[in-house]
Amino acid sequence: MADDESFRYSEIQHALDINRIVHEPARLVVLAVLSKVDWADFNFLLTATGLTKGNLSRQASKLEEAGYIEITKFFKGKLPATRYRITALGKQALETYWKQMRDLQQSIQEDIQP
Amino acid sequence: MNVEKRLELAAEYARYSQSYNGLGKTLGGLAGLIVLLAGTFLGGGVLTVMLTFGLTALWLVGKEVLRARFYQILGAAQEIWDREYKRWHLFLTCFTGLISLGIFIVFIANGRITEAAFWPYLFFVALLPLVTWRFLRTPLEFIVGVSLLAACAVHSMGGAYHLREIYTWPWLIGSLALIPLGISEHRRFLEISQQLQMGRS
Repeated sequence: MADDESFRYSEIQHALDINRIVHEPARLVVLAVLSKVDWADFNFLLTATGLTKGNLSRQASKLEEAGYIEITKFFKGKLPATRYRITALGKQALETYWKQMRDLQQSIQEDIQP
Repeated sequence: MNVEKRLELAAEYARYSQSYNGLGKTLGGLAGLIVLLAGTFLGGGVLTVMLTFGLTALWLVGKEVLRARFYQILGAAQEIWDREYKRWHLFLTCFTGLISLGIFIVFIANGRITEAAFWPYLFFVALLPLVTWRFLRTPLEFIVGVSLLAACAVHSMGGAYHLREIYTWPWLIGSLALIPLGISEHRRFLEISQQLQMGRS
């Protein structure tokens, strides 16, 4: 009985340990798209994620603050452009997140099976 | 559309920045084929030289313009080149570099490097590793691109490649393969861009 409770407690802790920066859906999709390309510009991220301009800018800034992506601003001729690239830390955070989610899903499924 | 599908589309779209080139490949196939047929049926001469120089330049410039202007229409995304691919590309660049170097050494050794008549030939030989590094990203592009540059060098000296020579066959096969491949990549790009745009805010 005590073992069962401690198991559940550790599972709950595990769920609470999930990286909240990555867990937010908009940020998760930005990171996931960037993990599939070497780099992408703002327009492509808008299309690929389906986010609005404001939301994308906001979420990208948060990911940059966390060190998960690099944002490079430059001029393409006379037009300003922004390039986004996932960092090694970002790749690691995303991989850890997927693993935690898979583990959690597995443990829940095991729990509800008769 | 689910996220997984969207990610697959994003990765596939990014391939058009490097390994896929759609109509750029078709253009390369047509250029390769026309130059080879010109050498075979017209022989060396002004028309063959003009076709060779013009079509080679048109392909190299055209494929990059298509890549930048058309195949990045929804925004720029660069494909991830894995280590093996980078090594392969570096190997081909070094390989063509060694060939160029070898040819230059031969010309220096026999004293012909100072003869102005050979300079156009040597110019295209010198371009070989640079063009490989900058423009040729797939095996088929490499076969056709190197063949076209070799044709530029040889045709500039009044010579011509002929289909009866067995070493022109990979060039012919590469050119013929690029034409439908490019069309198929182009059609796929239209599908990808349409599907990606469907979920745009």
